[in-house]
Amino acid sequence: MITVQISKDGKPLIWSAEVTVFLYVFVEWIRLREEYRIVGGLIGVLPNLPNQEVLNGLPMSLLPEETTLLLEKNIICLKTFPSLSRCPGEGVVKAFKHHCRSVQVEQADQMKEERKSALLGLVDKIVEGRRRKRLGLDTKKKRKKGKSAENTDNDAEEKEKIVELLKPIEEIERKTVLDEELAKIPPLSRENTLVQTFTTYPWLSPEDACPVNWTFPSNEEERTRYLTFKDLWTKGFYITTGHKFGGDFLVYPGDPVKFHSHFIVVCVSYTNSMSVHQLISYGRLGSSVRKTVVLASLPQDSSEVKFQSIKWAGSSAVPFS
Amino acid sequence: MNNGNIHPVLKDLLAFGCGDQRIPPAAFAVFMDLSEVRAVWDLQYQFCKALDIIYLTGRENVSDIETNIYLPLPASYTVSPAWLEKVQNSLSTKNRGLILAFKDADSTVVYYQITEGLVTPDSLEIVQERKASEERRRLLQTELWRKRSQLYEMAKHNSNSINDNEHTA
Repeated sequence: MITVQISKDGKPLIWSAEVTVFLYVFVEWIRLREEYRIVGGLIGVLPNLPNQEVLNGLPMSLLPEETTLLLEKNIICLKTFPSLSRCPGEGVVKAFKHHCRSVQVEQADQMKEERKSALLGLVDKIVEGRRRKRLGLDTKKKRKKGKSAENTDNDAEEKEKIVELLKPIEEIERKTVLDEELAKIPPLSRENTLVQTFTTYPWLSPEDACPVNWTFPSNEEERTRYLTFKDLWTKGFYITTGHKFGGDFLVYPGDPVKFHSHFIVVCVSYTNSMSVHQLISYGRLGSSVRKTVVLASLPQDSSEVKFQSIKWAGSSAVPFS
Repeated sequence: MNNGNIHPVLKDLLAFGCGDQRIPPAAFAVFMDLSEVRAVWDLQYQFCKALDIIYLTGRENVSDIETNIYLPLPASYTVSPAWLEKVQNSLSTKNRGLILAFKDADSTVVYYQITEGLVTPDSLEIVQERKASEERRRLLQTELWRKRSQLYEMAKHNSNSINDNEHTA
């Protein structure tokens, strides 16, 4: 069972539903999509790419139709967490602070570890540099320069120094240098640590979960929408919301990532008349985007949705049409 | 009104006794467009009393086996899914395409095919093919239009020579 968190936000977000259903967990999202052809809508920000809105990330919001279908098929269970809208209690505050501290300490340790391994590679060079300094020997570059300027009169002394310089480095010397260098590292300040952005709420306990009274579909209009969705889903299509094209649903023959949608489904009342202009605008829309506009309606006292496909079939020879 | 001066088809259409006064003129406009512009084959018109509509039947191409049902409606008409289904059932459109022909006040006619169920849209290849054939037709028409005076002269010349021949004969 997948637990879908539900949060009340007061304003109608999807088709006059007062509640929007969110799903936060990646594996569950991919499972719903691949196994159950439920696409939903990603409304979150990708942690790695926060400054764009072409690709969205979790959470996924579910359409009311998707929610009802998944509930009916016993694939998900809806839970609400009232504790999420309350001020966090003392325990949670403590846990959060502790978590922040431990993350900081971990990062400081990690940084020290990395600095140490970097220093280990350099330690021989540092030792050599120090020896040179102590012996008053110049670096190679400086020495070359010096040699050309003044002739070598104190060669013997120089030789002695070089012998001293090239003596093998003792382990103890290495260790002292390393310790000295490590001591020089300043402590990691708070500003320089990374702050974790949570993608789920880590301190949610199962006891906080409350059952949700899910009422969609509650009227005739919603019933038409739901049964239309279910019918198309049963036929094996992928369905997303159709706002983009002025319909109720967009119907895809496969995963929307790989396919263009075939149908723009508009849910209408079975008996209410619509003007011819309305019908023409549907047909025109369909032909201009190479999709079929389908009217879906539910006859009274029936649970079988009727579909009518509209297809442009030409017009009289009008100039400038 | 002098009935002697009106088109025989319009006369027939008016004589059906359609309750909706807007239907016969719409049907006539659609008839004219179908017969004169689109050159539909075996064009016929009938009246359905139960639905109070006039409908036309015909084939788009001479080779077509399938007949289409054209349903002329004025642009001020309203339709509902229930009504569409009733039309489909009573005109037995199972094997025939039902094409609604909406006629506007300026005598523009637009055609929309209504089919029960889900009809997959045409593939890109079909659309491209159709566009190409339309393009060819348009080219032919412009060519004809450009050479119209030449054609006219040719026709005149030919008919004159025929007339001359007749006279001499």
